[in-house]
Amino acid sequence: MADTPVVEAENVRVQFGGVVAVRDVSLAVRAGERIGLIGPNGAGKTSLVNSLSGEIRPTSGRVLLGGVDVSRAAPHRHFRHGLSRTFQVAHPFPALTVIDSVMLGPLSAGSSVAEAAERGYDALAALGLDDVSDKEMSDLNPVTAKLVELARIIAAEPKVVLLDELLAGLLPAERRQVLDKLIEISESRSWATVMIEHLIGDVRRFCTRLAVLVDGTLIADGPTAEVLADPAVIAAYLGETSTKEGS
Amino acid sequence: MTVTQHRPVTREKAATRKLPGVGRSRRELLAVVALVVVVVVVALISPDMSTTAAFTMTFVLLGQSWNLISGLAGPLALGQAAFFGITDFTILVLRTHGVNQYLGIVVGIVASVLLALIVGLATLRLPGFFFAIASLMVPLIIQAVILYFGFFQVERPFSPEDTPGDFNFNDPFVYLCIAAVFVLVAAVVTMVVKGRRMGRYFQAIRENPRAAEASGVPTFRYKVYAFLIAAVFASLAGTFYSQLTFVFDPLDAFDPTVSVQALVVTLVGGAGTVLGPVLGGVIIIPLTQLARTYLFQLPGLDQIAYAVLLLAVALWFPRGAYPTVARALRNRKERRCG
Amino acid sequence: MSIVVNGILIGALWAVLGLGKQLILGVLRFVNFAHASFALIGMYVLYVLWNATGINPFILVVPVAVILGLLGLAIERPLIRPLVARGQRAQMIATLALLTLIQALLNLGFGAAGRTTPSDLTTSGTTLLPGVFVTWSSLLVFGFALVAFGVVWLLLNRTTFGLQVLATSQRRDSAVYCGINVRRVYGLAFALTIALAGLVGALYAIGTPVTPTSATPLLVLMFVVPILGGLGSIPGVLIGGVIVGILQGLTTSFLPPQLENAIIYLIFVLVLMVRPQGVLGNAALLTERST
Repeated sequence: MADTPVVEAENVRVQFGGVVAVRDVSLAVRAGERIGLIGPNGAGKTSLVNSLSGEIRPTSGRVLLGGVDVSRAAPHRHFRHGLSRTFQVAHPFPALTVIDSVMLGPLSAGSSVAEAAERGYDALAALGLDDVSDKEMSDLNPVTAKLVELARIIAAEPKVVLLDELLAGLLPAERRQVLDKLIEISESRSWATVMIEHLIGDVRRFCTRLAVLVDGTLIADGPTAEVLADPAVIAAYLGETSTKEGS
Repeated sequence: MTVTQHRPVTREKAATRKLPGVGRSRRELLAVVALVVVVVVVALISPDMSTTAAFTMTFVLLGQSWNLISGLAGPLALGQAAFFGITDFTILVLRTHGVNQYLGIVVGIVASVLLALIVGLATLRLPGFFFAIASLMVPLIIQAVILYFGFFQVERPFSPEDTPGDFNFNDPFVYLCIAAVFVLVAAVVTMVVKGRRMGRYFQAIRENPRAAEASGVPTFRYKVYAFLIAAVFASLAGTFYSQLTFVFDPLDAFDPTVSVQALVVTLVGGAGTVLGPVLGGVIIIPLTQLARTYLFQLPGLDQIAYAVLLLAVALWFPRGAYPTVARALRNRKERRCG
Repeated sequence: MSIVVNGILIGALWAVLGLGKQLILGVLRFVNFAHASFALIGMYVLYVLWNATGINPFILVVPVAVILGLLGLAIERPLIRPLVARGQRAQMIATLALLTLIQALLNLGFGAAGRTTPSDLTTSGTTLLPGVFVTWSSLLVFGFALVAFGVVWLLLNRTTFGLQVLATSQRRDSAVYCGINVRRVYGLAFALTIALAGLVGALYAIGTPVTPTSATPLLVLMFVVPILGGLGSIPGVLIGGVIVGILQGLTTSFLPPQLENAIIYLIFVLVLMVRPQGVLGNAALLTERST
């Protein structure tokens, strides 16, 4: 049973009008796996992640969380099946205090306000963020904001974590700092993590496995080192972005 | 980067594990009580003052209604006049048919909540912008239907004797006192909701509906809850309005100006707070009422005043009075403490 | 048949109303609830001009559009520009205030009684097809609407200004780097939408009594038309306008006229519920800037 995928896409297709954003992609992630979802801009990465989190209903195909079909369920049902995610914004809840935002997950998972607050404070403490708990999210510096995002996910105690460009907007040294924390936490909690990221250096450090999307099609899926050496991947994607590595 | 270092939780730290904002809400409630008491005491000066004060409490309730749905939970509702007007209308029509007013009030509130349920289920799923348009049109549609059935003006039956059994009093001071109690009730409800699960969901939805949903909040269901509670508050406002005016005119009761008043009262005081609508209402409504009575006799001047105020608030003063003052005080205190 | 033809004729007018709305909403990404109020101002400006000069109202609609365009230019800097940065919510609140303000001011100036700018062309007409009678005025309105539509279409697709407007709507920040004076483009485009609103108001007002609440049906229409036709699509509003025109004809001939608005509103809600994809897609564009 330990080997059952915690999140699984089965022939997922996402279509907007006539445009196919995700073309019959199948992807299964097991506990403890860290998958990097890479591909050129417009390859359908975010659409795929959005279909996993329930924001987009797949046009066809199924999404399974812990073996349960959630393809037609609202995003909050996905959360209750153990999926947490981040968004491509600096502060998801700008005017909330840090603790209010971090305790939201446990609260909607069914805890009382007091229990949720306790779990929120514990998650903040685990990242050394006790000092900022009363601050408003919009007052945080970029690194702290990202760490609070991590605390939000820790507090929700998920099985599956989707990170949509979590590190965007950080300087290289800051990225490293956040990424180290992320590796430590996701390892100790054996999250199944799917990460969209553009910088190959970070992907190489974090991911155990890579999935490459080009024009909505999955062209490669395997251990990081193998995929990065795959000539087809290099031709389709890495060739054009390897120059980005240092940026 | 000191915050990112891992430090053990000291006992001192554990003691500060108290949720922020709870104490603030209680202080706001005290301020609400104080303001309401001041209004009631001032109203004792003359019957005119009582009437003005009773109108003030009426529109504070309408502001509290808008505050709950749009200030706290987020969706921009621009048609609170619908719930205000439908209650007013129902109570009056039933009264002209000899129905006891208490029953009329109950029916009016039920009608309003049903309307909110239908409108909410149909439109709250839409993204904010479309919900705003749809809500703006709801009162206009009800207005069209009521006019179609020929209710151009409904006169209030007048009886010179006080009949408490029929909710009929000739001294506006009585209505003022009852309305004041409901303002307090609405403030307490707002405060309690704010501190609990529901209010935390509301505020998360307001800040970011997508992220709230992804954090497990059933956003649609809770938006409907907020809309229903707000409809009850607006109905209470409509109830008192129906007792304080002499004629019901659908062109007035469902006019966008009524909804605008709800926005003005709340935004001037501070949206999303317990104190905001009360503070805003107590500042604005007496001023415009007195100006209308004593300074200008021109029709629609109060409408112009409300519109200009709302425009000014939206352009230059989006935070509102109470949060601005509170923030300034907090900053001063922080500076003094080091 | 008569309903269809007249529906198409009046639909062209709604298409122009929707066109202005489309420009401001889809292209400029600005939510203007007061759009219909500028049409209302157009109605009263026409009345005032006609009262002062006695010139045929169909000639006067041109200066009305120009005057409204100038008004649009005048209010863009103090009122609209600060709101662009404030986001959608502030725009909706402020323009709702503007809506009631304009209505109240016109009420103060002209009273609640109806003001009519008459034209004998509203009663005489011709038989276009067997059994289909149309008034000269509705033909003229149709002509004006088509001309206005054509002018805007050419302006957007064949001129530098149009290119700048479209560029600004795509990427505001990049447009700046291309040397486009974004503020000027925005101001002119806003003024253009107000001029269109004024033109629609003036054409609508010929032969119809105008009161300060006359803008209410237009308020509904101006949202229905672009959404029916598909937000962001300029030809779409033409289709949306004609559909609304025909539906209006149908409802008024089979149902009491007082319920016309209620029916259009219901259609609007149904459209939102039946075609959520198109609507949602564009709503995402709109909410992008709202935070």
